[in-house]
Amino acid sequence: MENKVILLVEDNPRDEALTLRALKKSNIVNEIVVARDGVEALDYLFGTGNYAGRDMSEMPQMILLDLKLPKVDGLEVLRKIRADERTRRLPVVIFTSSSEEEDLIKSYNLGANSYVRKPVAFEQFLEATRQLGLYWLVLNQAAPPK
Amino acid sequence: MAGVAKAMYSSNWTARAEEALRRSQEQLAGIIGSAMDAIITVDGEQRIVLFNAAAEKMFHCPAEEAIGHSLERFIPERFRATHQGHIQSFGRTNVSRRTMGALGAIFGLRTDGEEFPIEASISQLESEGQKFYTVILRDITERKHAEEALRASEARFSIAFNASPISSVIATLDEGRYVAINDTFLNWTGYTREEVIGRTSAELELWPTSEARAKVIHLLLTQGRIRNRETRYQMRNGEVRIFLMSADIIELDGQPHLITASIDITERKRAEEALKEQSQILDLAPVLIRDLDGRLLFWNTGAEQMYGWKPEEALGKTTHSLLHTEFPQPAEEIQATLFAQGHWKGELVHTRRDGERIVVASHWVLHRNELGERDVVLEVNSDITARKQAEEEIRRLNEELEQRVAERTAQLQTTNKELEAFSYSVSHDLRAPLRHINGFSQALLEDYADKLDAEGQGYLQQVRSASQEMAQLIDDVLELARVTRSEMRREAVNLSAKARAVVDDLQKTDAVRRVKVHIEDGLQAHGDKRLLKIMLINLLGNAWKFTARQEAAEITFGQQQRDGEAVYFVRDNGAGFDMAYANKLFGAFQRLHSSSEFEGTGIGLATVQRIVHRHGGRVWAEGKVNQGATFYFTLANSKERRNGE
Repeated sequence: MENKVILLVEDNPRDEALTLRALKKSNIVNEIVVARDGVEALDYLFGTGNYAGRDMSEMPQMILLDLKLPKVDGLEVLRKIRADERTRRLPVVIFTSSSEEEDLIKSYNLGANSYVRKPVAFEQFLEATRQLGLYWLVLNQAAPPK
Repeated sequence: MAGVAKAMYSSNWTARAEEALRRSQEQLAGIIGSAMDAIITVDGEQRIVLFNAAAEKMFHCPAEEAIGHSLERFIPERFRATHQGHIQSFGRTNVSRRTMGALGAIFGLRTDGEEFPIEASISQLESEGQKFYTVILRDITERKHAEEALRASEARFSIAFNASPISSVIATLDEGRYVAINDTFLNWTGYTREEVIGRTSAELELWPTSEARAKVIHLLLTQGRIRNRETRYQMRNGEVRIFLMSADIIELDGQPHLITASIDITERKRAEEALKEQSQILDLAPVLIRDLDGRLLFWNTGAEQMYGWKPEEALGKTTHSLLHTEFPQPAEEIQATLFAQGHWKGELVHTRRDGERIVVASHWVLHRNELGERDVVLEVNSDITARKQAEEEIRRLNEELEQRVAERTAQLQTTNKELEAFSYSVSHDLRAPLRHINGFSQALLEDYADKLDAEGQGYLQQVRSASQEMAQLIDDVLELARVTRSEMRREAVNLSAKARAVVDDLQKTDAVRRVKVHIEDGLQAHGDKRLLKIMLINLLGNAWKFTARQEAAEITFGQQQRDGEAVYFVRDNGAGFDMAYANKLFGAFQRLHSSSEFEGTGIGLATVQRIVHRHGGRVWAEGKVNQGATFYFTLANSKERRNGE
């Protein structure tokens, strides 16, 4: 199986470190691209800005998207992903601190595939990451590329 | 004296005797000549020998033409034979004098042929062997006329008395004994004639009091008569009716009598009373009447009281200038409505005499005369200033209230938004550092375990569990805030099913526990299902938690009726609590157990209480240490539920 990219959109370096650690501990070996705000995430996805000219045939197999982000927030990133033909079928997992009803509803309304709240206890955090990887990278059949 | 010279006498008395006789004859002749009655003397052959002045006047015949002639010419022909007979039979008697009236009506005959009634007396005298008869005659034509007139008058009076539509009574003045009564009296009083005649008014109890009659008699005696005096009489059936009575004193058979005429004015009086009452009522409402030019024709007491203008000041003035009428619409339009529909209703502003402006509810009615022409306008006004002021005050207060409510709502909305933003921020930002503390502590334990002794590793575990507790605390506080501010959506909720789902979840997360759970079937409530579920999670979660050390743990969820109210309860046989602290149970962050005994944040029951209160219910608990606890709650009562939210 081809190891595709995981796009981690996360502004907090500690969360980034913990997530990477958890992914590693879950034996997920996919390349991980980290975008530290919404603009960076969109640049990567649409080959703009710092990512201008990147190979657009390669799209992430899973996007872990935080909601609270500088510049362009997670919901806006999600909206743009779903609005564009090139990205609309990508699996997007909202991976965030909050379990506010408002966030859940908006996320699903905009077409999130999954919503996982980051657990405080690291064992649970690890378990959540492991299951996400197992599900979206192994079990789930992605939409065929265009 | 011509009369004396005409008297004829033959005599041969002595000179002295002649002188005496002459004087006596002169005196007699004087008497005869000046007598009011006709005096005629005839001899035995009915030839007239004396005919005085009164006779001349009576028969329209001078003495010269009468003397020496027969008396017959002064007697109507049909009586002549009778008269002859009467005289002769009288002559044969020894009676010197007789009244002729006793023999029946006798008549005289004047020279012009007119007959007339006379009263006569006759006397006879024999002188020198010759009979002389002297008649004294009185013309009674006038008296006869007077008698006729009196008779006719009496007849007319009798008819008038009896046929009068006025109750008439004649009674004795002293004791009121009835002498005559008319039919009207009988009709009105209800008595029969037999019951009344000969009896007294006191016996009939006609006068309501004896003083009433005494007073009338007194008035009559002092004033001579009474006219139109209002009097009360008692009818045969006991009813007292009001009469207008006039009375006079008349003499009958030499006795003073009372004659009264009375009319029954009871109905009129009642009508007057009613009218008076009506007018008094009418006086309460200001009423004015004006002609089509607006000039005031009528201004009652009510109008005077309301506006302060006396009738004499108001009458003749133009209504709307006197009252400075302010119309709600052009006066022409009002006039048009009045003429078209016959009336108009509306609110006007008037200015009183003292300058105060008042608001009146005005009702105008157009009156037409008998020809159907517009005549006058009747205007009835009532002062509604106070009402208008009250209305205005209410409107102002309402506006103020609305304004205040709007302000408060805006404030609340702002506060709510701030709270939401705060909660959101807490939810996102407060948890992240905890997660980091926990995660990096774990990383330290994993990656650097060899550099830390058991004690150091133990400390790091403490750091980790502290961060987890804090995360839980944050979640609970956020839920409490959410329970308070979230919108309520009431619907029918199956509490039994909800409770079962909660217990199933508890069992899943704590698979090793064996708890006997009894959930009563069909427990229904009307409320917000999300909030009610949070409530059950907390109550059943508590029961689950506090029975952890019980070997045969039991939890019951059921319902009782207390005073007609549905009371739900969650009972367990767990650790229980000391009732002395029962009041602390529902406060946020209040705990009756140490964390080492039972973990928890102390927010669960505060959340339960908020949910119950938001549903308009009550929550309380009963328990004993180590003998379990029962939590009771009610939701909005059935009455509130029927009325909806």
